[in-house]
Amino acid sequence: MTFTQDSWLIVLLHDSFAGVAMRGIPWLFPAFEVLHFMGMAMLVGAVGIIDLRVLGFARGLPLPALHKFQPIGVAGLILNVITGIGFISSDPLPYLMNGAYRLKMLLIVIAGVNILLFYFGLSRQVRQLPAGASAPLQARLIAAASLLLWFGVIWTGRFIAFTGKNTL
Amino acid sequence: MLQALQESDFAAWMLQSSYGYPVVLTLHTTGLAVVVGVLVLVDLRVLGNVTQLSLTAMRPLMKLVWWAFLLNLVTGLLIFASDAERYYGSTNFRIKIASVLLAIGLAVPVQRYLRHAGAATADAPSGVRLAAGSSIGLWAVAIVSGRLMAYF
Repeated sequence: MTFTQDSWLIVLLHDSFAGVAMRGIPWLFPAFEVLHFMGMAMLVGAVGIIDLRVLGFARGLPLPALHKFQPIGVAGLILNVITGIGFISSDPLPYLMNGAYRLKMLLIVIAGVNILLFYFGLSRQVRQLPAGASAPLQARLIAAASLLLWFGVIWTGRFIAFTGKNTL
Repeated sequence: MLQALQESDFAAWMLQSSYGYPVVLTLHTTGLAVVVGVLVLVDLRVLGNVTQLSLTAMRPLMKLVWWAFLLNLVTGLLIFASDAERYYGSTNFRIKIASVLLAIGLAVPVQRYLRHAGAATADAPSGVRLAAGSSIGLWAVAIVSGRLMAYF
């Protein structure tokens, strides 16, 4: 898929309120970067701790209790979607044409499907894994994929800055 | 010394190689997500949230935090060495280092509490709660100042 300066999506993002604000207010981009990093830690922390437990790390932690940290992960995700839309709206074409950015979006979609698999594809017993219990192989595979995918999101996200889009 | 550091072959490699700095910085960002993401959850537990989680069972998480911190200590030193004089003179760098040192120092009493509290269900002592609460705030300061080092 290729975009030009005149593609409707590019024009839509560029001329949006977010685009105008991000270009017009000098401190907004750095402030959004700060929030994006905080959201990253919240999301990766809340999701990662569940993945690690399913993989057998810190076995004494019951999964239902770890699920109580979910609001932190969801808040991190919302924060990062909002700030992320801010970044790309500031200058949409270089982002949407950037390989690292595209791969990052793809990994987020796959990670999202993977989360749905965890919550809708596994039995209630696995989702409610008590302290000390081992998760079945299927659940471990989903957890391992989740960790790799979210770390992949961090790595590809970081590389947007090094592969053309000159953000700091 | 700062000058010798940033004129070293290593610094040249970090700044000129097309993958040196990007890879080191990416590892540093990964470590940040693990240190802060996991430690904040431990702090929240110590502050009295999600008491169904046994304190003893959370201890392995601290091991993870320390390994990730080690990763960031090493990658942080490499990044510092690549442009030592600029970082040394940066106010944001100094704020970041001060907040990181304080924040990781506060992880020590939190970890000691996990080790000795056993199956305690009562609230943590106020000193430990203060350490856990300040830790969250200081990591936020570290992220703000660390991120802004790229600008000022």
